[in-house]
Amino acid sequence: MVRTMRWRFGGAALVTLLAGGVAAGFAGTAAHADPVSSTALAGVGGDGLQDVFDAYAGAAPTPPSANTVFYTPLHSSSATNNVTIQSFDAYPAGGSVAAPGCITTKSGGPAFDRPSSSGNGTTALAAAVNGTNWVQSTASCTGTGVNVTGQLDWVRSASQPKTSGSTLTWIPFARDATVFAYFDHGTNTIQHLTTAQLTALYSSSSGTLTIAGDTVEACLPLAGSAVRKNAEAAIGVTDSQANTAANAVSCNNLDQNGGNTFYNTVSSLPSGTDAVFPFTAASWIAQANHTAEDRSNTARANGVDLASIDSLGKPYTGTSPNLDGNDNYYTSSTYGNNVYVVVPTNKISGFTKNAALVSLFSGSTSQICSAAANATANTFGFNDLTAGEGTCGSTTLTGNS
Amino acid sequence: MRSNRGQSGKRVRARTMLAAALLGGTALTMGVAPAGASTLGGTATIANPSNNTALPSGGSTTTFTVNLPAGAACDGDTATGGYHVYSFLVQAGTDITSATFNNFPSQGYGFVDNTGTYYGPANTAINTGQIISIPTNFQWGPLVVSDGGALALSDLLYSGTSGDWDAGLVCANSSGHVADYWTTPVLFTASNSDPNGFTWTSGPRSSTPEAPVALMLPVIGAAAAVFVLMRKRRQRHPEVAAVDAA
Repeated sequence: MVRTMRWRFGGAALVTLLAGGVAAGFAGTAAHADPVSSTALAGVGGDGLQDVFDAYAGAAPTPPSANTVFYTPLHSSSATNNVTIQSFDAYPAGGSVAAPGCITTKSGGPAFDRPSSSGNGTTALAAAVNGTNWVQSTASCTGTGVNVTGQLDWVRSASQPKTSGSTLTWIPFARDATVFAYFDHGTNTIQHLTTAQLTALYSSSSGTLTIAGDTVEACLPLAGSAVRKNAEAAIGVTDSQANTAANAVSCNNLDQNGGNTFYNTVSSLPSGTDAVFPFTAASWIAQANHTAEDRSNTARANGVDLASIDSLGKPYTGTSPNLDGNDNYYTSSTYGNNVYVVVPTNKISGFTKNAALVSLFSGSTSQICSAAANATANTFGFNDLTAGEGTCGSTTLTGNS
Repeated sequence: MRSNRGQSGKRVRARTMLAAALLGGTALTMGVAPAGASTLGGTATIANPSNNTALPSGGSTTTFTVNLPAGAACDGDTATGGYHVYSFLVQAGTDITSATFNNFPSQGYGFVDNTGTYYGPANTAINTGQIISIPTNFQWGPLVVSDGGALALSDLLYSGTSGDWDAGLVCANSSGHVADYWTTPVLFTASNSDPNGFTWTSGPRSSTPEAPVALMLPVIGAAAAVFVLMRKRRQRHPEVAAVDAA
């Protein structure tokens, strides 16, 4: 009996000792008050939307800039912990799609190719969802595929899905339009164009068309970019046709919405030889108004302007820095287009949903559909969606890429 | 012969002591895995986020965090190795290594925070692969339908009054396969007084106190060595007596 009691006491003491040792072995791993960026949801994508999303993230044009304005950051509801966003531009400030470089979106994550367009962003997000590697097809800084699982939460996109499916959801939130910038040595010979002329130009194998006695050349922004796809759709040419035309005149894959890049590429053309280049109305206006990083100031100063198309009129009214968009383009079923936030479908519904992502983007009461967010978008040249164009926050449009 | 028997006995003793030492040594190294070694079945502990002490029970809206052994790390890091941290919640007895983790678990559920957001995939520390910044706002309530989740309460409770589950964290490699995991049992029990209809307890399933295997193995090894030595000594005595009689 005595022996039994000793064993029991000894056993209890041993258990107590061991429990204490185990408890001492645990380390506190609680998160503490880190910068707001540590919980922000990371996004990439097209350049036409990058400036308004910079504003949603807190500042645009992003510093360093003499024109930086600070905004109240877009954030999820207090019930979903006030999570903010961080938005990576299509290419670094002062940089180019020729060298977009690498980004690291989250602490501890890998460096990977900066997706330099809506299309590339969507491809990268799909890779993050599917667990496949992401590498940009051109100008890769990694040179090999990188696992980006967990590194991307959303993509800004001005184009719709290119493949059917349900992996990703395109959520509309505003309206933009396709326009065409022109350079004609300041003669304004081609200040008015027709859709038929643009179709003929971009479907020609020579990449040229004679308009009002001048030879006009066809230029294109980066392959896969939304501005390129939307322009091709508006004038009814395939990417293959347009690609052939732009290659024929060595004016292909220019920086999207980069007026200066366009001007620098075509300014040496001889008198009587002009060029046109697809643009987005919102980006042109935001750059001219200096709410966005101005990448077209040199171009504007040297006569690059937006052409009026058909009977729609000039795409903007007023003078820089007080341009206002011409609604005829935005409401046009041909030239107007919705702009989207693309999210993984399984992050806005079901067990794996991210409540903050839902609060930010999903549904008509989401933060991006608020009056304040709409007002910010208007500042960057976007229009609100009308009933016939779509419903802000709708989650009915899905695709795999 | 006697001399040979003596050498044989020494060899037996030496082997026995070596085995015990090896057992003890192995056990001592099981508590915290060194960097690069897989941890399968490590201990996760549900804890109070305000003081990091174990939290053995709570209601559906009780906020908690998860503690892992000091230095708990994945086999590789996120930045260069493609490893990610995910949470899981599977019915007791499920082999979590049979699940895959590509953005979310292929089976079961996981830890969710107070907003219902699933935890994972999360990045590890660079180079070390350490599991860091585990959230401090987990709750079980947001898992179930009544609190905005996708899981029916009846499923959580095994269509009865209680459900026995395993919860924890895994490290998944770039292919989504489990490389490491730490787990703890969680028993959910129906409760009329809880706003979401259940409470939970967490800890070892055995009702008697249990010492960690890592620290019990040396004791078992030493006991085994003593047993073998005593048995050998008993077997030796009849032979010695026979020699003396001759």
